Amino acid sequence: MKQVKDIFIIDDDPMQSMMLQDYLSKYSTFTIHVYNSGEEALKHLDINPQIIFLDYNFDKAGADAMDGVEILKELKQHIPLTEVVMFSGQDKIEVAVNTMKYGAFDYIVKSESAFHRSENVIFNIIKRMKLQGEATMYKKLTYSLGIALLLVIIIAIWLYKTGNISDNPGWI
Amino acid sequence: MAKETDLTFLESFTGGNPEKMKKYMNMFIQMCPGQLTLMSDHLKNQNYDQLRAAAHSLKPQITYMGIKRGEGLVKEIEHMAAEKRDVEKLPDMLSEFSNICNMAVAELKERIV
Repeated sequence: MKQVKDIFIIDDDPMQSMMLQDYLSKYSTFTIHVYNSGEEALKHLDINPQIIFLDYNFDKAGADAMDGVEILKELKQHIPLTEVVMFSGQDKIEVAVNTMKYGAFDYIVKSESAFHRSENVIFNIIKRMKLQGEATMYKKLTYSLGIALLLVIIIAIWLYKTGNISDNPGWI
Repeated sequence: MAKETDLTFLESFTGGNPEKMKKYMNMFIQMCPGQLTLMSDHLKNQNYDQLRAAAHSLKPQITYMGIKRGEGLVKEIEHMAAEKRDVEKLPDMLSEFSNICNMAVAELKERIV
């Protein structure tokens, strides 16, 4: 997962969803999918979004609706590589800590600065994805070099044992 | 008389695009009265948890429409309902908040025309 293509917005407040969708629509590379409940979003996980903006409270969606943390847990179980950013009207630190505990990438308070912060969070996630991609590549490279070195040593020992090479290099 | 709404944020958010501004103002005009009725019903039924939830969901929209007098009030209603504290004050507070919101809706309607 090296680039952001699909973004989910899960919020029961249509104005908040529309404002965020409009704000992010300046980036034509993103396809934004809006859902007004967690239940609805969970039906579309085959899209495999890279980022999800998820509301913390789903009071408007009805008493039986899953709350933000329940949805977060489901999302992390089904699509663990997807980064989930929580949105809430509450600026309580306990709420933020609670969401982070269940694997949220960040927590944004719904305010005038929320949209700009969302944009910054997307760039932070992209940056992290690139770094993770590079780290994986270097890990593979190191592993391959290790295997190659081991093979050279094994061949050298085998040649030595079979007498095909000697201790005495030809130029001495 | 001082205005209840301050559309500085909305203007900046939409880049001054009148159509986009109209879209958001219309959404608020459509949603706000229903939310106020809901809050009032919950208060009548002494359903403070639902009152808190309704106040909470209206809060960001109040902020985006720049309804400064309403912002503090809705926060206070939310907290008092959550803690079920000073509940006897809630009817007056909700009435004041509803008046502010109704004036804001009227202002926005005028602006759209």
